[in-house]
Amino acid sequence: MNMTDAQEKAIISEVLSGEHEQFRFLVERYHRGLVTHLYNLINDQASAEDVAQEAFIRAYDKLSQYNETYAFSTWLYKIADNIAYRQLKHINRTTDFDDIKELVADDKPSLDEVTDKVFAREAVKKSIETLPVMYRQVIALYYWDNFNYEEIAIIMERPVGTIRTWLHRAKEDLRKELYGQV
Amino acid sequence: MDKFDQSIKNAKVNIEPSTNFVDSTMTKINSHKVKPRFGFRLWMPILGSLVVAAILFMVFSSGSNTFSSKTPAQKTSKNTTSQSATNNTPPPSGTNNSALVSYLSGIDGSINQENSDQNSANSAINDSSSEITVPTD
Repeated sequence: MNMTDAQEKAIISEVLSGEHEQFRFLVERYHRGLVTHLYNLINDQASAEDVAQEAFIRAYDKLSQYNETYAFSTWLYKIADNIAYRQLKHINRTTDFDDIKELVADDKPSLDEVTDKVFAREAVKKSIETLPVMYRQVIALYYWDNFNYEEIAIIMERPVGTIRTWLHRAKEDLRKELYGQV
Repeated sequence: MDKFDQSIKNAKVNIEPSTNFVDSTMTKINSHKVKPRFGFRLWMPILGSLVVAAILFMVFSSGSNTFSSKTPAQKTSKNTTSQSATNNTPPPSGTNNSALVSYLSGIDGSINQENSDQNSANSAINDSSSEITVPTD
């Protein structure tokens, strides 16, 4: 559904004035991106959808607290990531490093070879799963959801400098994981 | 964006949410919207009113006990006043002057008695005021 930011703000005003069913348009606009984002963090579609639904419900409940200075998507992702972060901390996911070793060849191919190969995508994805939760969030928001540093700082409630540092360290850790080099 | 950045970008997995995701989300929002607010908007005021009514009842009932527990002097005053009031019957019609004088003197006596009772009641109140004074070391 194509919707401009002005239309989105108008819909939010309508919901706040009592036309609750208008919230459906916001769900329709953001649910694909949000579920995909959460899936890339949690790696389980059912859990991703549950978290997304909870995020929409909380956004609806707290809509009067939404600050229109920021994009609605930033606010929604902030709510969703907070829920996902708590869930991920509880799950304490364990990653099977053997899977990664199978995907990344034992003879340590060069950077170009790895990135060119078909399995590279899966290898990178698996390596990202080994990172700490906040690094995964930064990577997902920056590379996959196209948020800038300032927006990620709002979503993760951290200074912009911290976000830059986390992204840099996340990439370093990924390189180590994939190629055994910094 | 270098090749490594591009490989990270390409690692994104795109999925399609369940077809009924929007409907089920809206259903949850609507049910979520109705239930808690029903509880809060209907039951909380009723519960609050009941609590307030219970508190008021307790305050007033304890207050009436306090009023009823007066000093003996006050009780005596009350009794004599009521007795005096019973004496204040209107004079019988068609009576002579001496009977009227006797009636008026009776009223005068009652008024004096009431004043006396009032004085004793006041002194009793003053006594109780001094009794409840808390000494400060």
